[in-house]
Amino acid sequence: MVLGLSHSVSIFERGLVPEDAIIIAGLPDVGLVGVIAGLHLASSLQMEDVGSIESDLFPPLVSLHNGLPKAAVRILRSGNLILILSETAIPANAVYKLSQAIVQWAMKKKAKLIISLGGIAVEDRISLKNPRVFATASDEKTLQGLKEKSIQVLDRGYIVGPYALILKYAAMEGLPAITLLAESFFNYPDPEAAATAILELNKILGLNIDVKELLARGEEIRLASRDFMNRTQMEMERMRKSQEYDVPPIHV
Amino acid sequence: MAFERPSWRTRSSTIEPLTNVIVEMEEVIVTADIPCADVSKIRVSFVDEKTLEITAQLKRKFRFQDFNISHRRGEFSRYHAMVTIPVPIEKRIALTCEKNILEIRLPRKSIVST
Repeated sequence: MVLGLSHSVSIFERGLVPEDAIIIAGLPDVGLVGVIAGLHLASSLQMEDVGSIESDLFPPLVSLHNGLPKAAVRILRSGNLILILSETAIPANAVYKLSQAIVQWAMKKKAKLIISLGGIAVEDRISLKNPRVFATASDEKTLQGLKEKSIQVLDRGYIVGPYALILKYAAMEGLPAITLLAESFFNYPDPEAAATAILELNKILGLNIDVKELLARGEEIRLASRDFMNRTQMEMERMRKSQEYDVPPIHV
Repeated sequence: MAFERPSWRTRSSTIEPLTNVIVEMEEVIVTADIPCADVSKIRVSFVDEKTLEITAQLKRKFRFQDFNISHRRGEFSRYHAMVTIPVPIEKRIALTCEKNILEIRLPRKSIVST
């Protein structure tokens, strides 16, 4: 089924997407935190392909799996968990349309919650043994729920990119959304940060996803993710991702 | 516009690492992400006044098949990068490597102000 949600982004469903689902976004961002975490979720929960997101704003590519074409942005499912996972850098000029389409689709599917998994770049990442995870929410009630689970809130600052817009559009639509950002490298793949983000996700959703293998294979994951990280960095520069480092003006 | 080239060089069996160059007031910090490298086999040298050459041996050889890619041939035994330093520096190198991220600190040349 094709849902014509915008002129340039289409969401294809090939399997059942239940109502009341929790949608997790694993999109390429700093440290590829969302993608690395998403790939680990997909294998840990043995998620199945239920759809894809297509756009003429994406690069003209397919990802080959065992000789068969797969969309670069896939929708996977395990129970009531839906994962949006991208295996290509999201072009800066596709960010608005993609974020709108994801939120509109989530509304149409009566999703319960969207959780975006990502990173927040910190300069001293190399010396951090345990990266912290910060969260933001689309509404006061969801934010309060995070605080009750002792999750640190990102009080002030900027978020740039698809997760910023997903949060904004979700807030506009009254759809509960959370952005989980683990301290990470800016342009080096960061499986440790991805593991930390998953542990916070476990806390929020009551899951029990193990991250031992993710950490054990961290170096191999970093080696294999170099090209993807490089292309993601180019797009982050186009969308002025470095604005996340900016200090916002003081409110008097 | 130059044609994009791969980050894998099969002829020289090398992989280009991701790198960063940060210019501070008194030093330039170059970092390189070198996962799976043998940290005891890293070599950093100057090619000229503003170019640094980094090589690091991998702990084992990697082939495309290790990443489930069957249509390409080649194996890789080390990282190799040429890094351009944007400001004048002293030819003194201080190296550290933590979590397989190489950090190279280079003192900047002092400029006499008039």
